[in-house]
Amino acid sequence: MRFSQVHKFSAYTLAVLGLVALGSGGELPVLSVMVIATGVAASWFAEAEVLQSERYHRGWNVAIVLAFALQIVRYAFFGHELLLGIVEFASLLQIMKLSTRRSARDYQQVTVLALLQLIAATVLGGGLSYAVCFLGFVIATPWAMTLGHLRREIEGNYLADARAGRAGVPIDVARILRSRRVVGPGLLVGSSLLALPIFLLTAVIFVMFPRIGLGIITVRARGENTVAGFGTTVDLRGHGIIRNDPTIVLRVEPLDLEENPPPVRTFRLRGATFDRYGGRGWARSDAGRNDAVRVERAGNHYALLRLPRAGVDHGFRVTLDPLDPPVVPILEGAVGLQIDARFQAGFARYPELTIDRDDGVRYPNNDEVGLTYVTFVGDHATVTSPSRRVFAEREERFRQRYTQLPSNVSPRVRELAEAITVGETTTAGKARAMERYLASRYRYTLQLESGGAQNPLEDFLFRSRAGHCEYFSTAMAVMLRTLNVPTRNVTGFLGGTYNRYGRFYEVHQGDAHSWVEVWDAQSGWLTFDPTPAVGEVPFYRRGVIAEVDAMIEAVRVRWRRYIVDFDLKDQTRIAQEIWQYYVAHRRPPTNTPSASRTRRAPSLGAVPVKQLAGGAALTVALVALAFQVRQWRAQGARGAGVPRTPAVRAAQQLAAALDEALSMRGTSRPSSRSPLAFAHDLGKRNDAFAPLALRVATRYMAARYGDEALAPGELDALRAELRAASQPSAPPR
Amino acid sequence: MASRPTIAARLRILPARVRHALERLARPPRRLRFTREGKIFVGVTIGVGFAAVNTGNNLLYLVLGLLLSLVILSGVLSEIALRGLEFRRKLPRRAYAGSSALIEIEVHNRKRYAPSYSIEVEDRIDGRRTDKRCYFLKVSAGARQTAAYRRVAPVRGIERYLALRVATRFPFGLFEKWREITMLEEQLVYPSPLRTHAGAPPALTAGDLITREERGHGEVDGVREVGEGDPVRDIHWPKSAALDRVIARERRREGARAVRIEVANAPPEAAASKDLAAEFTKRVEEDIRRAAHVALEALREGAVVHLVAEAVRGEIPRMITAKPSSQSADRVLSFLALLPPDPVLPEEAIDLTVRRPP
Repeated sequence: MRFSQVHKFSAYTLAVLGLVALGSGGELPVLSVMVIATGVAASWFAEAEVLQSERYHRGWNVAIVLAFALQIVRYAFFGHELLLGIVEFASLLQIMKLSTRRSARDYQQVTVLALLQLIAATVLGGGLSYAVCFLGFVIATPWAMTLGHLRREIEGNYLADARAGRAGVPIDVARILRSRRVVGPGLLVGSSLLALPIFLLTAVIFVMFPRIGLGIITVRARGENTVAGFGTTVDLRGHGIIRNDPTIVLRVEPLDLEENPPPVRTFRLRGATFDRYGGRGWARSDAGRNDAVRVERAGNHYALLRLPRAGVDHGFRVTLDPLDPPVVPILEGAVGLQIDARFQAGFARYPELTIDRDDGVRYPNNDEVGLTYVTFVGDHATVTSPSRRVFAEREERFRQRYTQLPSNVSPRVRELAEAITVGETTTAGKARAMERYLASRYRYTLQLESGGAQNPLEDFLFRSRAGHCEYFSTAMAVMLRTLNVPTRNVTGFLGGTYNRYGRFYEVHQGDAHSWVEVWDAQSGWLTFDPTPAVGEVPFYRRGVIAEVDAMIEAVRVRWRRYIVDFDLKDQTRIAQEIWQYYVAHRRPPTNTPSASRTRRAPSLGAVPVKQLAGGAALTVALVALAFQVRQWRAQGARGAGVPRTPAVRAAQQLAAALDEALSMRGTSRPSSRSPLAFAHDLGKRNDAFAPLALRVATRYMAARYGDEALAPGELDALRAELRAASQPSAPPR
Repeated sequence: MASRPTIAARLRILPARVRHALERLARPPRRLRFTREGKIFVGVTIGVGFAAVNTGNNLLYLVLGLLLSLVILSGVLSEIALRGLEFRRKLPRRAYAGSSALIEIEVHNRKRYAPSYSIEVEDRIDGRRTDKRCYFLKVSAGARQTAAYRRVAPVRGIERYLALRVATRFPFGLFEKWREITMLEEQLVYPSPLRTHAGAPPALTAGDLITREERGHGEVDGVREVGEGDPVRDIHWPKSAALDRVIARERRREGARAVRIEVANAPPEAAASKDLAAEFTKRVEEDIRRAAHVALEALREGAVVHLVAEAVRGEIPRMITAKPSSQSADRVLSFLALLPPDPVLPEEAIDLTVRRPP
């Protein structure tokens, strides 16, 4: 390939990666993305004549100044977001450099801009797209920087114009840049292979660099896109399209996951709670009041009901994407949480969780990178609601709150409720009857059949008899409230699709659900879900696309766990494991039974030995393949001039026999001398072997290059002569 | 009073291995210098490092790892580029002060697989600036490449080529790594002959006619192998072709003149001032150049040349006699090149940074 082409390609690769990394934060509007993509594509075609035009360069200079002024005006007068303006301008700057690339200096500036964009993207983005871009940088940076350096040296050391060189050959930069000899496959493969040591070194530096987190100057990092979570109201007249939304909100990883986990598992994760029904939807009566209290913490354990107990409670690691508002979805039956600290200035900082009076848990969303926590689910017999005691103490006051109803609820709702619960005396019995009734007599649909009615609830109950989960939960809650049973409406997630690549369950936006909690004086808050279980199943992609999605999701989770959330604690753990491994292996094992019982070498638990071995084997195979290819090419090059016919092979054997005879006589032919030339050399030295050497060499030349193949038996005869003449006592012939 | 032991003497009490290691440390074989791009790159790396430590943003740590990896890899690759290279310097047969001469540098990449990219070679001359470098863009594995540079020796005399400074900025141009390879050679720089138009120089006197051997004139008297300075027209082509050697015709001896050239190079007994001394040196240099011109012309005309220089610093007067032959021009020019006083080196040609090899 031509040097200039390869260099251009590498520079564009880096530039595009930088732009994608910068835009991976998802901040850029579609129009900006299209303009940037078009600009980059158009710049590719700017070639020699255009690039040499001074007017073209002046035009770009003016354009970039105007663009800068435009961004300032947009920010100052039209409320354009500053960060977005900077991203757009940085992208335009890169397009300008790509469009006006003339010399090595321009290409170097493209590389520097791309690197700066990668750095800026650490604050703006950070998701999986950033990971892909970073990997691309690991591969493309050595290309671009090596070729950029070579181009700079070419421009600095050779004549810019074609003047006669020492050997009378014009040497000019353009000619070298057009050359195909400077950058061969070897350089490209070699610089690509550099990605491997760079990757390993980066990994080592990443792991070993102490995570101190001074926090002197803080820049608010932006994580992946914030997911719309739990609003402050529930409106029965709409439900959005979230039911079919495959966006993953959180992942649940059971710590005691069985060998063959079921493909679907229903996790009920409680999010927000609503206590006030307004006739068309739900709201919170304490909205705007900050009466939440801090969740009790001991170390990294948080007590919802009590502190988690190791070995007793079942742990589920939840990886939550940033939610707005920052609600912590709590698994049904959870007793406590475990959240690891983040380190700042060497000190562990634990997030301060708060819990409101409706048991809604929230976290301080400082950096919009979501939350990873372990939920511990206890034995149901030991579970009590966190607010049970409080509620019991102020029962009357709270009964009023959770039995509140608007005035427009007609009496026939109460009549229906009484008809459903006739014969039931307990709160739980009434709730169960209600749940059964709704689940069996009503139909689940995403069509808003009652959405347009004046009173959506009564339209659902008495006319359409079809609706989505919020209609079912509202109907049950309102009917129970007409019977003076304290209830509240809960929104959260219900679902879980197994991701076999990541060994966790995905919970999607479409798994959003609504149900009812009923207060029972003996048991506390009880959960009931009147939505028919055979309701419409969320539509998710299936087949190959779903598999690819699952793979990407698994990588995304690992990226987040091992890279984004990596901290001092992880470093300490790795150091301890390495130390234990070293201690266990530095002494030779003894054969005493007691020693073998007591001193068992710990394995590097976190080190994926199989993967490392596989990677090493793959590397060895690739290197072996590369050598083989090189040998094939070398053989091809050797045989490129003359095809290896039998006649040629016989001639080569004759030359080999001559060399062997020479070496037997204590002489060796330098590789720089042909057999014929060396035979003449021998003649000049009056060597006795010269006549025979000259005869053999002449015959070799004729057979090798003169189409005068050796006659049958001639090779053997000449070999015999050479053998005889190479004996120390043999008379020269 | 007992003299204090020198550092070298102190080092001798150490084991040889330790001593050699210390010596290597004191004078490392490789030296580094950051380029402008390298300084910017390191600045950005430090900035990213500070930002990473400050914010604890792991993505910044990743970028920091990438940047540091590039620096480390740059060091390794530049080392590979410099390793396994052998150099050969080819000096011109004749070099004249003030005239450019071509100096060839041959590099042989002895590595089996890895080519060396972007190699820059600079000659280190004792106390003199060269400013000219040879650049090798790519030296393939096992290959040899030759590049040349033109050097103008500022003054006559001996130039001591000490070493080659082999440098590379490969692969990323972040820093320049170099090493010096000791390669001692001497080049005798002849005075540049100065043509005189206003008659013969005052130092020139004509001598007697004597018989001599001369090439290019007279009748052919036989053949012999060609020698330095033989005119092309004297080459006997049929004989050369038959014997596979270049054979020249030998001509009969003819009568020729003898020329005596005197160079007044003894300085005045007491130099009145620095300016006068400089004036004297300048005049002597011109005399020497004129003498070179006259001597070469005389030799070309077939005259025997007697060159006489004055006694300097108590030495006996110097004198040579050169008969016209293939080596006579070199003898005359060598004599003149080494005549005292030493020529004054122009200030711009002085380089005090060159370190003499051990």
